Amino acid sequence: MSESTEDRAKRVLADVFGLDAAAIASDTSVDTIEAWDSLQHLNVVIALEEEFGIGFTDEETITLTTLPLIVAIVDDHLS
Amino acid sequence: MTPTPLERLRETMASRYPFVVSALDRSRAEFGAAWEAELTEMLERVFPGPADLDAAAEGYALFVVDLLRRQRQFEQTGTYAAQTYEQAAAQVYFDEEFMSRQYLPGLLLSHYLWPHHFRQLRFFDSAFVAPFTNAGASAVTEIGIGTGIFSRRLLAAAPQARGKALDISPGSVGFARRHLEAYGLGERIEFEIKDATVDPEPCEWLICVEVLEHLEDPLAFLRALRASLQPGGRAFITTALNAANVDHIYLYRSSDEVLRQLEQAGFALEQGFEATAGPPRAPDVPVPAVVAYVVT
Repeated sequence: MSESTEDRAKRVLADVFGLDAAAIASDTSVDTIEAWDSLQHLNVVIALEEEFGIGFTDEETITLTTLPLIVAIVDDHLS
Repeated sequence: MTPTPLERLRETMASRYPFVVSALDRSRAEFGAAWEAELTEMLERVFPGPADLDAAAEGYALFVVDLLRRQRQFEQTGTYAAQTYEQAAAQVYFDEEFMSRQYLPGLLLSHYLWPHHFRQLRFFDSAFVAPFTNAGASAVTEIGIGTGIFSRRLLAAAPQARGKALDISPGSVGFARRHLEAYGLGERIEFEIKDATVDPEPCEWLICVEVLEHLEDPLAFLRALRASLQPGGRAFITTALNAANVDHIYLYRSSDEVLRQLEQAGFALEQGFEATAGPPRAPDVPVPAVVAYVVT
């Protein structure tokens, strides 16, 4: 079975923030990762774009602030 | 209880664009009550309703992510993406939706939320506004009015003074006019939509903030500015270093390059200021900075 969008996004977040993927919960957000500032936000956005082979608009970029939102927006691109 | 405009701005940012809140908190911690009072007054006057504040927060978030993305590209290529004045003008200065939704609110808030920008405002107050008021000067010209924040600070501090503001962008002129009017200063400033980088008019006190990096040949412009400055006149000139904003064309990598051009144009340096946006993201990665000079 192929890896779900959520699991792939968790792996991206874990890589960007140097965390264990198991530590990334389904409700992870900017509020639950202290190091998630504007520079890290861009790192998350670029890493997601590379992982999924997509490009986000600026409006999407400012909305990618929780794992559920990331999954929804990525799935929208992939559908 | 109704939140203050600053609380409302922070709440909106924290709930919708939390990745930008740390900049606000850093500035608040560094500059304290005076900063809070200044920012609160600006928010009350320029973004008076909750919807205005929410739109400003969104504009600022868009401004930041656009800038960061371009900065990352710049770190990889070593060059700015926009190559000509025409490209930047079409993409930015004449795009009123972009200017009013994102660029101008973002830029105005950056003067308070980015410590290096706020420190530059303080330098402007001490190195240019104070001598202006001490000299009893009565007229100032600003080339490239942008958001209007620099002329607003000077006119507010010098009740006898009148200003003239020029900008190529109709969106900038409209925003700056509303900004100055919101501070009760609209009667004392005259606006003109004009490319003032060509044949600048004679003046004694001149403000020219972050214009040089928008030009293909800033040295030619500086020479024209020097020629337009009347005897005894003084100019406040700033630019950005290593900052890949959408409309930056001319890349200054160091303050030495700017100082050399000011000297070549015939200006004499009176005071200088330089501040970076923060530490390098990685070794040898250029850091955006602002430089400001008072010259005669």
